[in-house]
Amino acid sequence: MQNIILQKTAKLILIIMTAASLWLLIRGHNNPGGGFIAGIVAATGLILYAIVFGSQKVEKLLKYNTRNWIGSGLAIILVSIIIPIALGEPPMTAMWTTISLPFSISLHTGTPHIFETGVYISVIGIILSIIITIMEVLKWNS
Amino acid sequence: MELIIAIFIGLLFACGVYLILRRSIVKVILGIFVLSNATNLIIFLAGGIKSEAVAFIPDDAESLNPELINDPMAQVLILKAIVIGLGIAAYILALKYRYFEVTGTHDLDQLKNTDQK
Amino acid sequence: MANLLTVLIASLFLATLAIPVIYRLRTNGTGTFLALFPLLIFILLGYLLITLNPFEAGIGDSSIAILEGMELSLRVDGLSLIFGLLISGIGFLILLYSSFYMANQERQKSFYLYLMIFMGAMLALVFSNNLITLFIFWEITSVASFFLIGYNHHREKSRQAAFQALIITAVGGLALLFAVILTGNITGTYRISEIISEGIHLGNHSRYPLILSLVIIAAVTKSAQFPFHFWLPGAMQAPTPISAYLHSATMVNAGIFLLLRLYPLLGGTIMWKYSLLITGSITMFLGAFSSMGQKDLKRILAFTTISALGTMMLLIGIDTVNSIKAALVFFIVHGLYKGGLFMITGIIDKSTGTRDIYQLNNLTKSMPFTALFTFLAVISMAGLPPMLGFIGKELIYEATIQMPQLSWIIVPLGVGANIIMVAISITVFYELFIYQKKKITTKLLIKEKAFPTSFLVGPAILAFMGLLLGIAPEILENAISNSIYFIRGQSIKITLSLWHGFNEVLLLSILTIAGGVILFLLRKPANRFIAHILNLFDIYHLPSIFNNLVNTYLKVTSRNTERIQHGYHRFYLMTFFLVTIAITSLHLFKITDIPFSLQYFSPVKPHVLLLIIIASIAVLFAVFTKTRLSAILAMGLTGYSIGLIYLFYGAVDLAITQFLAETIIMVIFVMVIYYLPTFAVLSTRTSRIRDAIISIITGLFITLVILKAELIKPDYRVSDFFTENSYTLGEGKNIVNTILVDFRALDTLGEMFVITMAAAGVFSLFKFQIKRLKERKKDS
Repeated sequence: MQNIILQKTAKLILIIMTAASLWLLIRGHNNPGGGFIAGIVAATGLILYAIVFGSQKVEKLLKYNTRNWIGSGLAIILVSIIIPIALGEPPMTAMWTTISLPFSISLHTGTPHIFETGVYISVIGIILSIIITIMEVLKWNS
Repeated sequence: MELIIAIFIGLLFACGVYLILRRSIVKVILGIFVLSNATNLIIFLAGGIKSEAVAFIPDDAESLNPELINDPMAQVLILKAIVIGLGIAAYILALKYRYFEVTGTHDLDQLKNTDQK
Repeated sequence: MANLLTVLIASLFLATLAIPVIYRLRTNGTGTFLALFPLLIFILLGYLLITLNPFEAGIGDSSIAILEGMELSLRVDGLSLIFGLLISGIGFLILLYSSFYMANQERQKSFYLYLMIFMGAMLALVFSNNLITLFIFWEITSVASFFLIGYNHHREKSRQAAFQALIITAVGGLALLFAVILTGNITGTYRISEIISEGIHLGNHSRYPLILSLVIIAAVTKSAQFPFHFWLPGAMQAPTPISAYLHSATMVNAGIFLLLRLYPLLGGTIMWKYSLLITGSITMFLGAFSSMGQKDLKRILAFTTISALGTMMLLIGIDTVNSIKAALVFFIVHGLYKGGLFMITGIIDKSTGTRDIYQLNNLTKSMPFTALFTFLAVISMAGLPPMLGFIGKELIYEATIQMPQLSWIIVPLGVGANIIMVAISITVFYELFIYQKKKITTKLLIKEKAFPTSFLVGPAILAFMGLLLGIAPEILENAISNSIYFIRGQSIKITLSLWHGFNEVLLLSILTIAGGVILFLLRKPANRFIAHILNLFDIYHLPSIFNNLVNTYLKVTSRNTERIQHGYHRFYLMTFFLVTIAITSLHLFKITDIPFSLQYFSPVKPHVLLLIIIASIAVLFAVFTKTRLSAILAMGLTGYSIGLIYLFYGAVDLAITQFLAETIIMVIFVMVIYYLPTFAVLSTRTSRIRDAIISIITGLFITLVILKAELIKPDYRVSDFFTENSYTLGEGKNIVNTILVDFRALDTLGEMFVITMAAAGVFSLFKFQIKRLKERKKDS
């Protein structure tokens, strides 16, 4: 769609949505949000972008094939499962640790965060894979 | 309130069932969506709607009295149901698209004749 | 030792994994290599036989259990040793024999695979100390034999024979399963050793007739007894090594084994005796009778096997120490000569290209070794000294004569069957090796000298074993004493000897041989007579009756299926809804003691009420609108309203998810919708009214169910644990999210896989379609 206002809005919305999704992802454990919601928010922004600019642009934006996104998401989930096994706990046990970073910031994190990141990435991959397939086949790009 | 929601679910079910009993495949798919929403609502109602509180533990507390909130398990179940429903919706639409492309019909009664014998 | 046995039996199964590798390395040596496994087992069993204590059984328990009470445990006693030795020993010879017989044939790999599985299952069956595992291996032998009989599956006869064998033995297997479960429920244990040591006998239990009939059905079908005997002649469609194995030591003898094994539990009653006596004597006589007048050597042998199995059945039915002893000895006798004779059939078939005994003659000169082995096997079959067959027959006569009431009918039947056996033995040997026709001389395709030793060693060993055991039957005494101790609970020292002295039994033997010789001399009129009688009974040709039965059954079921599976999805759904509602209502509205009161419910909230009204209007609009787009939008509106309802009751995460998911569904729907047809009214007015009534009933039903459920809400919630421990254990303040990613993370993982699958499905449904359409366009 060659509407300049729509194009500008879509870009803006994509940025806002991506930022919002990251925010939802990070605070998800203690506040509303979480991996799935964040993923779907990011995907919504990308869908709008795809509708306005065409699916090829989104594929370019994503850099990798959507199937790779799904795969890497699931792989990250796998990492969160393996870490407890490596540390001698049953799989999927939540392990927490506090990492101190410079500037006296301490980051409290653990395997559930990794898990959520995996969910986030694979959800983006799954939804966009569906949308891009449909758009390609049904020629929504023209 | 439960009574009203129960009646509402009944209405949704009636509409959903009516839709999936149609011969046109598009209506059948709409019916499936209605039914999945209605079913989610049943689970939600089963989790209780006594309270309006959000299922969060307050910042200054370590735990929460379960009496104060509705059953969070019901919410978890519905969340999963919605996600899977989304997957099914996408799949079913793809199936419908291909079905229409192959058979050239949207009448489900024609489907029985496309069986390979 | 028993543990070693477990390992070795397991190695039979594991060896199947090595088949492809060995096959690639040495294609025609596969059998020779695999023969190593049964040989090891045979050696171990031989050692166990020597060290066997007459009145003790070795139990090898293993911790591997299929379910509780269903351990894979082994029982080594006389009975299982006798069977196990024959199975492993003949199995070893069969594998050696096959490596030449099957050389350069297609699908050798699967042949050896099935054979090894069959052998392993058979061994595990005879050694299992648990009724359930016994049943499982029993079924595995049925399935494996199906593949073995149908090995030449390009031939229709072969497939049909395999199918018959499978159906009949599977029916028996089902019967055995029922019997085993019933027994387990009554006795409280599935362990055979416990049943025997505690002396449990079901004779006085009310379910005894049922269990006994089930066990007898299992044994009778497996052991090819009348009226199920017809699958065995059909099973000769299998390659000859398989026939040799099925007939001599395995498969058909499993039924005999089962009866002997369960004797302590079920045996000795009037019902037991008479049912076995009747089937046994009919089968014995019928088998011997039908074997006369056959031309195909394999067929002749198949019918004599039926006769022999009938004899064993009869002996078990006579139910004395001597008869059980006779049955065991006769099993060994039969296994040895029948295995040998079948292998000889294969040798003759290979070298001459035919199995018709009337086309073959004067083979003695060209095949001297084969002639020698045949001679030994045949005199064992005829029951002449000094073979083990003589001892076997003497014992049979002794048992039948000593039988209390029915000896006046059983003895003539037995003698009659044996006379035929003698006649057949002479006929076979005479026609094959002695008779000379001037015009036709049998040409050999392959000379005997050209066969490798491994091909001839099988019948040789079996024939000489028959001779050896005939001269020194003491080797078997221990095992038979032990078997009888555990079967009949009598500790008797059994003695076996070739010479019994002059008595009525010897007289009968002489009579039998004389009768056999006379029948042999009169064989031409006798054959004609038998052919005539068999023709009379041709309308009762059992295999075709069986086939007709199966075909009728298939026709009826396919007609019924068409009636029930009519293909109209609406009517499936209607049936489903109405039946579910009817059945559930019956139960649901029995519960009437719950008072209905509005107090139970939370107060009405105006804003939620408003939302519900909007959603209701939207959904009704979606049902009745004529355009697709408005229907979708109305649907979306309903979905958003439901999301808001979630939000008003504090489910924030849920509401967000609902909104986003609803949006994406709508986007996808809209994308696809323009490639789909518009709505059309396809149904008639009456059907719409009918559907409306059904849906209103469903809606009402659902409402009532929900209200009922609301009123009987339990006090306890599963989620209380999660609520209380969300922060302390899960370190999350958002309880819903903590449950999702921590407490129930596995479910979330599963959910991820589900939607990944959905995405893959969407991808393939869309993409592969284009490819095919493009191809189609190219074609046209």
